[in-house]
Amino acid sequence: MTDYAKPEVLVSTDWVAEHLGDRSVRVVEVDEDTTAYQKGHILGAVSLHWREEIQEPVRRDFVDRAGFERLLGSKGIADGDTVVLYGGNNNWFAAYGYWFFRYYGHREVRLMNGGRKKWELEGRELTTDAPKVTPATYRAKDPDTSVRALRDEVLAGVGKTPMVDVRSPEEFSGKLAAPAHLPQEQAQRNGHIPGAKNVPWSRAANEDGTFKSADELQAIYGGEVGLSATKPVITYCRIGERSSHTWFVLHELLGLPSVKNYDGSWTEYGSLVGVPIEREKGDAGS
Amino acid sequence: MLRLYGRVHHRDEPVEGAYVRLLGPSGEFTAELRTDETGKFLFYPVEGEWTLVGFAPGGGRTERRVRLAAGQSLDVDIEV
Repeated sequence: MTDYAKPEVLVSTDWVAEHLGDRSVRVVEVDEDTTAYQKGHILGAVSLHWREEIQEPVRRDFVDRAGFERLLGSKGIADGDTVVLYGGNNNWFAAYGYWFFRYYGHREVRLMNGGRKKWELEGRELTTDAPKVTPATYRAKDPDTSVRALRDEVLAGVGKTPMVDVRSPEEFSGKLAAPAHLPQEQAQRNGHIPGAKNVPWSRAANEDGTFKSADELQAIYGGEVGLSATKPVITYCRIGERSSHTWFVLHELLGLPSVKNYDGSWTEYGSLVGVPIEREKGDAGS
Repeated sequence: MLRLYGRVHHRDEPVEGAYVRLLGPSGEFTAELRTDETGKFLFYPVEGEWTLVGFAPGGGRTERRVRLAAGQSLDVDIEV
């Protein structure tokens, strides 16, 4: 059985349970449901709010380097710490957090395999106690733009650069504009980027939220989809978090050298004027 | 907007912290939610055949197949 390209980027729930008191390990929860942390979290974990803390309050973007440094420092995280991210929805937003940490050059960052769901379903302890946080000094690296695709690059790559649309088949086809547990909203048009292949993020995950084995992932993304190390790949979804999950799979677990996450994703592309869109015949959208 | 909602329970008691997964016609993952203190969940799917899978804290898995017609909202209980 083949190992992941970077096996060190995943830690198990057992590993986290064994390192709860380890001061060099910072456990961080990132959730789509931002109230989940207050209802109970892993002992000692701090929370990162994907909208209010990771993203700029006014402009649509995530915080700049200085903002990232202030944010991490305020959470008691230093740049040499090992950061373990976990969250709900099979680590969608934790993977987004991982990608964000990588963007600013944090070296020792991990995902807890299976995320919050696995931790909970295993009956492990959660607490509502606030962690003791001592502010730290954090120095970020220059942004690593090799992991991020912006609109112009995506548009220039239509029909040329392999793109993986990781949303559900219903969203890809244009029947739905958002996942089925969220109200329909966002982009002006439904559908997908022409030429993109629909590989829902969930193909990469087992039912307990852990990642499939390297061999299984290679069979899907290498065999079935035909991605290879010789061509760059762009992943996208609706707002860039599910595609971070697949970015993690392709870049970290399978080791493809050039994988960019398009965090503008469908809420941006599907609202652009005049760009090409594909949609299944007969799916007028919601 | 169609709604597919319900409650996860165990011997008539609501189960908080269960997970409910919504699978499409060919078994593909569509969405997943954690139940609140009343055991409730709510999805907004389109019409069609769906499978709900409930996961209980500490183990246990229950599947329910449902059919959602145009304009319909469906209330489904899941015993775990």
